Amino acid sequence: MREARTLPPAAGRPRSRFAVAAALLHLSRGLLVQSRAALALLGLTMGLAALLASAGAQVWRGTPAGYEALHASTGAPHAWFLLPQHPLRETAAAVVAADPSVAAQAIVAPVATVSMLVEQEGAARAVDVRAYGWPPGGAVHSTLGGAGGAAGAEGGGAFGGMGGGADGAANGPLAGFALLEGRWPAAGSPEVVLDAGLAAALGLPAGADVRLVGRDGPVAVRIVGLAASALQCPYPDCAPAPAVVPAELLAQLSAAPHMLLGVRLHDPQAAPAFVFAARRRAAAYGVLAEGGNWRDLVAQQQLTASLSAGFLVLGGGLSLLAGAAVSAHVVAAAAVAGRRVMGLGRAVGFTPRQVVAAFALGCGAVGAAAGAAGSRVGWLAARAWLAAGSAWTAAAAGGAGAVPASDWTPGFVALAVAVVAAATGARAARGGAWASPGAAVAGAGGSVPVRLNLGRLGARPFILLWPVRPLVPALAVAISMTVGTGALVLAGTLAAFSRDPAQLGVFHQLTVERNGLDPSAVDRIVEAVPGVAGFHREGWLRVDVPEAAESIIVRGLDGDWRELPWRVLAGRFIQEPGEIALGTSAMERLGVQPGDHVEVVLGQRRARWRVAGAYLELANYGLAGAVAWETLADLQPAAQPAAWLVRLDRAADAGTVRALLLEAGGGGIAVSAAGFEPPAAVRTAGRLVGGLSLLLAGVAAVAVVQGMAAAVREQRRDIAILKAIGMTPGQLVAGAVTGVVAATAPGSGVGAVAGVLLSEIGFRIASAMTGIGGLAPVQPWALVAALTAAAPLAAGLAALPPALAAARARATELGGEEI
Amino acid sequence: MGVCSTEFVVDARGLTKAYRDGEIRYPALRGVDLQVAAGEFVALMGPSGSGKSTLLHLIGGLDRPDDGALRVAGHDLPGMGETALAIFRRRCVGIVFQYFNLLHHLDALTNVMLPALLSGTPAREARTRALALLERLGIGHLAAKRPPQLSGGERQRVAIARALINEPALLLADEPTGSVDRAAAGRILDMLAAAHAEGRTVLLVTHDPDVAARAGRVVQLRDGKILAQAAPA
Repeated sequence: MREARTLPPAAGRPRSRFAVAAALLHLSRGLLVQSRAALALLGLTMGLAALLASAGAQVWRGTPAGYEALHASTGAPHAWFLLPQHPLRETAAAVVAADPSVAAQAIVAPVATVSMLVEQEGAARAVDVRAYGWPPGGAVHSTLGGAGGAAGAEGGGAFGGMGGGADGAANGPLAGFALLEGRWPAAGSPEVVLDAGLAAALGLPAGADVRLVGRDGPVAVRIVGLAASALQCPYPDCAPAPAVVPAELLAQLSAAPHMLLGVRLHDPQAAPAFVFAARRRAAAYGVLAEGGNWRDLVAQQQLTASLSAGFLVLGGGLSLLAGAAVSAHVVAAAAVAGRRVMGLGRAVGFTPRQVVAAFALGCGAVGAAAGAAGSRVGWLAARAWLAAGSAWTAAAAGGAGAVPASDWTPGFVALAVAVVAAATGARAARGGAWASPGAAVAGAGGSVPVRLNLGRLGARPFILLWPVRPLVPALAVAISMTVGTGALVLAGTLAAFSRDPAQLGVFHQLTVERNGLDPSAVDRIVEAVPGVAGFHREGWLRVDVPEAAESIIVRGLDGDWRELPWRVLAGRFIQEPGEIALGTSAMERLGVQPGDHVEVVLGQRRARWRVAGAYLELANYGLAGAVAWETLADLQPAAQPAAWLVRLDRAADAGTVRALLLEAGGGGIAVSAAGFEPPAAVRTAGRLVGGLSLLLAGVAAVAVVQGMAAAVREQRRDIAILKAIGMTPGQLVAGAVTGVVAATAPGSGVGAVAGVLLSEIGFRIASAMTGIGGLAPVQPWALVAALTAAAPLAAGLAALPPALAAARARATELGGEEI
Repeated sequence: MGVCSTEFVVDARGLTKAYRDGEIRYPALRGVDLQVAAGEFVALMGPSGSGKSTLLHLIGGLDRPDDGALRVAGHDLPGMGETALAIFRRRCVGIVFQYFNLLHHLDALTNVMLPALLSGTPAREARTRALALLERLGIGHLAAKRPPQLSGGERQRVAIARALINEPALLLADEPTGSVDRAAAGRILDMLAAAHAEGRTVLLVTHDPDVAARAGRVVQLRDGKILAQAAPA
């Protein structure tokens, strides 16, 4: 038909492109209308792929956007500091606030960490909260010159105005806090506004009564509102969770609270560097300030979201692959069924290219519609999911609504899906389109020969019917097996970590924290309680490493810790004074290797420690290190252990020992259960992978059913012959089902291997990304083997309905006019 | 599934059959009575649409009558399930179709072997029997060829070999010479005659009087009814 292009148009006849397009549409409809079920499947798989990919993009973009929106709408500071009690604290704060980088003070407030006691179902639970006092009790700007003036110029010149947000976007009594439910506490009243994430975790509604216990006394309060804070990541990833109380109440709880100083910067992107420099300046006055900044929280959110978004996008990609395979399959079946229409089209003058275009048009239209619908649904579902799952995003969505309602992503996803669908349609149509019209018409619906495998089962031969295009069900099973194996590995690993937290370097079952008691008194209590096998003490310090312009947390180990099986990843664990072992992230951020030395600074004190090695450190995403107590005490002689990490006898019951400890402590200690609790992001990822594997298993089942239905349809002539010469329905069903099992078994094996490999790689990536390092999955081999064996059997079961339908049909029904 | 009785091979009484397309009903057989004794060679003749192929399908257990009694080789076909019918087709009848109905991607030898394999015959024995049959029909040298590589007459000989491999009591042939040239048709009829000479009952559908002339009895059908039965002229 190529030479037709060179022919001149018929003289005197007008040519219309619209007429050609209309003819193509008619042909497209004729080709596809007889394959409605196939098109529905094509739409289903493509829509699913678009949904997952679009949802992944929304989660990736929406999670940090939710925080940024909350940050902007609450006038939150770009950098903030917690300054402990110190004679020069006001001066240090003033120096920090007077830095030329500072545009304004956003918040100055008293802060204290207190315990919250909750009575639920007859049992008391104690949880730490970080209580922020309102209205602020300090007055940094009153002792300052420039910075106070700047604050006054932008924030109104008073704490009340400052607390409402430097930009005047008052969202509450404290900059950086957004009220999600209820109201703010009334001044001087025994009321608290609690972090929404903590309230949800504890099942505490607004209106519930709790007790706050500080160093200087307990107070009974009522929860009058739930809030989200832009000053730390959501509970439980960040603890203690924030709470807002009237300043008078905070004074009753703690007579010597920390001071929170939050500032907005001229260059918000420079916040991390500003925090490091400011802490160094405050340290020059002997004030050891904790610091935080908004850029780190954005990064933390991206890290958290990357896991979920990664799984969603990966799922979308796999669905697209499965969808493409399935659609290629069903379109090929439609092409076989539509061969007569193709031949007729060719006979009346359509060129082969036009026939292919008509098929691509039809499939592309279905893909575009499904892709558009799926991507939009995914986008909106992810928005709702983010809003429901994150107090930050919920606050932002209810406030400024900065989570993008839409952007190019859904459209791009829909376009990509449509292109894939059109391409598979075009590819499948090629063979029929270029066949001679006479042959195509004579094909009268087309037929694909049945593929037999004549085997021997014992002494008796058996006949195995292979499905047409066996790669499709095999690929679909392989993809679902890959994800299913990943879900098994993730679940198995989390379960193994929970059963044996020592794999993660958690060797204790209970954590005892002193609440005013002398360390030696806590020692005596812990030693006296039956069921305690041993314990060691820990105290924590944040130190600066000027050479790397970084700060790390250092845990000082005291007591019975040397024999514990620390998970060493490089070099060795600490053995002598003056040594430090580092978490992987700390090792990388400081740019050191085992054997190197690091100089650390704490206020005016300095120390030079030798890096003994790297170990598995879960705290602070691995940005931490461990030293012997005497090493820590050399740097900070006043340091005291804060936590007792208690190991129990094998037969001891943790609940009983905890009750005994609490009774013996008489309120002077707090006891909490230790162990491994997967972070929220990991739990979400696990649910996603599990759900995804179910979805893909569904796609695979549909692919198998569709494949077998297509096999029956396309091979009906040969099946009719086999029945005519004596193949029984049982032999037909057994042959077809065994064929599907045989065709999908390699796919199942390949998928399982891919799942195991991907989970290994995924763990390495996640381990490196989080900075923890050294995390390895625990492969549940028995379960993986069982799943690998079960998947082809399930595929065989899925093939039963169409195989039974073929078995029930008579030879003359299947064979048509030929028999 | 019992053995195939050879005393009264076909005994059909009052057979009716109609095809449906939606609400429309197309009668194909309207009360056909036919008896074929063991060892007979019967030709069913009639114009297109007279019901002769339908009758053959019913006798071969490929389809079921709407009404009437049908006993073939000692089996009451209307009362049998699909599995029993398949075993009946496999053991008691061999069917030769006008369009050969061979599996195109299998070679001639495997096509012939298939009914024996379906019966559970060990593959080695099935192969030996199939090869012997192909040799007997003069196409042993074509055993490795696939049907598209064979002529129409050669394909039909392969189909006859397939029909004979399980040594059925009844051989059914539906226009076996309809798709081959005259010379090939003669050879095919010779083979059917040879099968008859071996003691098999042969039931042949044709609209060609010359073909029917090879039979011992000709049954004339028209509009789904038997018009006449007689020895060929």
